[in-house]
Amino acid sequence: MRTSIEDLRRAIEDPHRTVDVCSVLLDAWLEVTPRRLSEALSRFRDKRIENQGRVENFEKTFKQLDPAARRRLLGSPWVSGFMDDPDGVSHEDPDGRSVSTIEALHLAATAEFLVAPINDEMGKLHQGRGVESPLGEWVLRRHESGFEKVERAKVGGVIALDVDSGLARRNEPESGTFCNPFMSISSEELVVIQEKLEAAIGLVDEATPHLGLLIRTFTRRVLVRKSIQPGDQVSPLNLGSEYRPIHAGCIRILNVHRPEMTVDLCAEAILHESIHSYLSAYEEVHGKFMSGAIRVRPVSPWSGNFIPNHSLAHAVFVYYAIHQLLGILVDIGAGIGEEAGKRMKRRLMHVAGGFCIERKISTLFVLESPASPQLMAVVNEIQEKIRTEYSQRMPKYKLENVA
Amino acid sequence: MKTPTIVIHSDPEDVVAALLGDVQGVSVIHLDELTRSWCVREAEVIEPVLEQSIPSLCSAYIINWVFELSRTEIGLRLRAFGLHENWAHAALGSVLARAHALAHGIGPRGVSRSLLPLNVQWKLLSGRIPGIKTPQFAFGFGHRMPDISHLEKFVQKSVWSYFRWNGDSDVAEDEQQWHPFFVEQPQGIPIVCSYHGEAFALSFPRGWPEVDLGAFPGLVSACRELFDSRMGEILVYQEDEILTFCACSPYMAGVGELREGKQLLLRGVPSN
Repeated sequence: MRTSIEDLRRAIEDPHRTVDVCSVLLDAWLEVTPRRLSEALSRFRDKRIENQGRVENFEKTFKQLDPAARRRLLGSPWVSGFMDDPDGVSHEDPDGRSVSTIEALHLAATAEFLVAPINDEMGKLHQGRGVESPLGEWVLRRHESGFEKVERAKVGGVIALDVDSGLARRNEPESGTFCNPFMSISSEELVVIQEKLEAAIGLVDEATPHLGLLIRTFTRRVLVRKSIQPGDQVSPLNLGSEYRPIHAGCIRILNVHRPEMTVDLCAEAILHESIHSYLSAYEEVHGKFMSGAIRVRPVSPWSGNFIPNHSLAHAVFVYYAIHQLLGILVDIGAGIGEEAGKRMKRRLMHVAGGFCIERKISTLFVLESPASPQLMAVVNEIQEKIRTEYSQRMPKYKLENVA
Repeated sequence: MKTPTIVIHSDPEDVVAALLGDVQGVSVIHLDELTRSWCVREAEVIEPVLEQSIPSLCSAYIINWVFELSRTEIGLRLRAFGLHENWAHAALGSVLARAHALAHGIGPRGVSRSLLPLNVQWKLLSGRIPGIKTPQFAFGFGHRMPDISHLEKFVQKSVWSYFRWNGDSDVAEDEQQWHPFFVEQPQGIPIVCSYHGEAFALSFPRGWPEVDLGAFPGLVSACRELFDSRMGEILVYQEDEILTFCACSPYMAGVGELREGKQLLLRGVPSN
């Protein structure tokens, strides 16, 4: 079975379709990923003689993994990170040494073998490298007396909350979230973050349980970056979130410890980035929506910012999902308090405002070659659906009565 | 017979409003006057109530001179309610839905085709008119600087500034480092083509080249359609008989200085 662009839309709007669409897409993604990885490994091996041993070591380990462990590894950011930049650096280990992407991939595969007490060979390989499971649900911490396996907190029952791994500390100048230097998060702050994210996913589950399922299918780890201290001034840029396909299944959220990052904003951020992850999985399987070229860029009708064509296509689905979530939350009240209710109504109108423009969104794209007609049809249908909803509420202008 | 015409403007010093203010059959309304009774509420769609004193917009030709809301009264009310400015444009759209014709597209800059970023204009126009040149440019992404090694004699410009090409900085402070835009200065002699409907007039800010007038009707027609602007000013540079298209501006900033400016504006009003 094949996922169509129409299915992508249906899974967001029709709770009866979400399970089917998500499971078919995830299966297809898990089928295509090992093939892609194998191609990337073989290109990497052929590039330099010294790469040969590294690839063989990884493959030897990978072959010994059982099917479940393989799936965990394939769904991890170490696979997508390697494929994105096979010669690159993945992150820094706790001692500040660079870990290459192939090394990180191998470490993640060997972590699937670990049993306590850690054996000598593994100990040597992982010395100081910070051992953790591929999906980040647990981490081995070294003590004077040996190693301790520590389970990371989970959000929504399955999403690992990661505030301290090499990945969570990574510096990325081109990123909107990870360009901010890492600040360590105290245990008190971690409790606040965990409670807030848990409440946020609770809001999604209450209003749109099918989107809660979609989130859990395509998001496996939430990376929280603290970039400002409790007393610092906050700007909207400090309350951002991001998804980068280089780390498949990992969403990033900034400064959840701050009161300004409210539960409703967290719910929106989790859904927003998870939809990106969902769409990226589709693109991995069926090809990119369109070119990511950035030389000429349309203007987002939501933010007024110049965004790549490809991001505009994603934005339509993202805001469609958020419109569903906020629309229902505003209707049911959800016991979130007056302030949050008012904030969500404003956000809902902001999201709807981006759709309620005179032009069809499909005409905003500025492309070298024509976009897929199916994609453009779905983009216009989504816009039309929301526009119709609001135009019924939009009174035709009337003349003021003379008193 | 010419269609009754209404100019809706948002700038007290608006050139088109000033030129047409005393013409019979033309009404001029400031946006604040039009929107005075509009009902703007917290998180609600705007209800555009029109006062009786507003001339009938129905079946009129509207020169919808509404590009910027930040200094208008409706803009203030939107901000007070945290309402997206698209909602004011949507309300305006519903008010103007029964007009005979509109001079410009509706919406904020970048969304309305009448106000596109320069590089989008170049892409669209060069796809329409074969043989016309457009400036070489480099466009950064966010804080990332673009590769400018292929550019000669370039300036940093605002991607929204249509008519300043002399190298003086027209870049707003927030644009210096954010999506930085660099453009090669066009070579040759500048020609400004002011148009309304099919009527056009040329002016030459820096000397008189020998001009092939035959190129302009096609250029005007392309700009009218691509940039959803029944009136505008096109800036081209001519060198060795080749035209470089620099911009199409809806602002009509130079029409006041044109000897035949008022006539040009009137000739472009559609007939009934």
